[in-house]
Amino acid sequence: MLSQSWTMEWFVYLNAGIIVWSLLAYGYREFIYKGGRGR
Amino acid sequence: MEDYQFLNWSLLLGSFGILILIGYLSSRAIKDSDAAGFLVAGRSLGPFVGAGTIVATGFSGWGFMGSPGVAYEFGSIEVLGNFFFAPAMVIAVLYFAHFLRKRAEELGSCTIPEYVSQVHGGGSRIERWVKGVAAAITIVLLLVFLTSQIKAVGLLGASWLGISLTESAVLMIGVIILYTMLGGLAAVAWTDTLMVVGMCIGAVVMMVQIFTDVSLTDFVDRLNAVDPELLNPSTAAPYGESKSSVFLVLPYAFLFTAVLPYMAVRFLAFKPSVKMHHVAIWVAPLGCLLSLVPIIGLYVRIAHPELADSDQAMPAYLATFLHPALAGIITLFILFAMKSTANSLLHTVSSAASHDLRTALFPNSNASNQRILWINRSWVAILGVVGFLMMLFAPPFMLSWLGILGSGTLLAVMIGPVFISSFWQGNAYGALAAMFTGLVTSGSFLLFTNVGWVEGPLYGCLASSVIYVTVSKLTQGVASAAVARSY
Repeated sequence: MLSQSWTMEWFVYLNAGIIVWSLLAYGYREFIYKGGRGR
Repeated sequence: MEDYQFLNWSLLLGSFGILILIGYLSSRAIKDSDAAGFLVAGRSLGPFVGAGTIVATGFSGWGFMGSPGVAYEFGSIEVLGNFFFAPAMVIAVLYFAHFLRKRAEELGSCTIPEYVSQVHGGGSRIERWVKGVAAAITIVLLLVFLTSQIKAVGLLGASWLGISLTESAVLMIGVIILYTMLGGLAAVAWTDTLMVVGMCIGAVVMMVQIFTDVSLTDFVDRLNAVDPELLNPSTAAPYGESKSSVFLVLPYAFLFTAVLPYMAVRFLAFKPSVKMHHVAIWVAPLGCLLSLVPIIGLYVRIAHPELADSDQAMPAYLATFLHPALAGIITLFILFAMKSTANSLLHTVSSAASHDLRTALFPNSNASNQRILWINRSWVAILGVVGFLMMLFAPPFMLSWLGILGSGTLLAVMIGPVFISSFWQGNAYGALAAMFTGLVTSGSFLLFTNVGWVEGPLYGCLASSVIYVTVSKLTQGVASAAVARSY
């Protein structure tokens, strides 16, 4: 389905990507890297 | 229909009551005892309110009215192009906001023009020049953008309530002025957060309606039957000829979030203890939800391929596919999208006039905190009225153009002093030269050439950045001598 539209393919993958990225950044900062005040 | 007009008025007045109440409560909570209370909400924003105000301000009425129209005409390229604002906001929050907040807190900056002048130093005289010029350009360009937002909100309100454009614009800007005067940035941020929740509910309701009406397979087949280019375009028009042009929206939107004074000032308003990954975790889903809205343009294209004016895609959707009561509620949420941008613009231009220009022109003023608060509040009213008057006399065709000219050019003005300075420190002369270069280059591209609305400001950004570095290097000796003379 998505292969029929390069724009929608990018749209869906980037949407998923940005959600995953924000979750990974949250996990990394919260549980792995704890340096820096308020960072 | 009369019954629904009564409902629309009730929704409007109810929302006005809530917005004004929030303005009042925020003014009590922040206790505007000093300039930072009004200008940066006393640096009190938490992760959710901060994320809400960033997303609400970034996704203006364009996302709800203009973008579906472009998607109707050009297809899914607009859905992708508009989406880039979501990752750009997440990137700016995760990788730039902390730096800007920390540095502004150390310097005691309450606005972006003030931050620009303090970062570049060079002695009190040149600092005042930098602050004054940054403030003056901000006022001119954002007033232009504010004018377009007042007109957009006025037009939508007029058709929704069955009143004239002037009456509608007076109502809308009147309420915005009132709560912004009451609570400053805190009121703007709190009301934005309420409004972004409404905007997201609106987006979800519309997506549920669309995808319960047509299956995804049917949606794709019918769009391909209208024109296969809609889903699989061979160019990135209207963003450019090459397919890759659409990806330029990502750096544009990043700079839009990180550099524009009415966006970046939000980073200065976070509580010092707030962690930016706590903000990003809210920005990502809110941004992704709102980036779904242009899909409505594609849906209207399969149902009404004969629309004479693509800008009518959203009004046609509301009139055709939703119950009038639901359409009224969604219209309120679209008004929220416009108002949340307009209130931020008004707060930023009034801060530039009441704080930055005032302190640049009268550095030795000993006005009391109470007097400064009233100066800040008075400028909100004055510039709100000026924006309204400009709207009355602005030529009709300039509606969206004014927005692009104002925000895109300001981006080129601010990139050197706000963004490049974060990793390469120039001096005040470089900052002044960069601001003028960005203004002239981006403004000229947008006014006198046919390059796209993304490309013009990006060329301006490039020229401004080069000039920032070059002039700073060339004037190193002059800047040091000026600092020595000032002490």
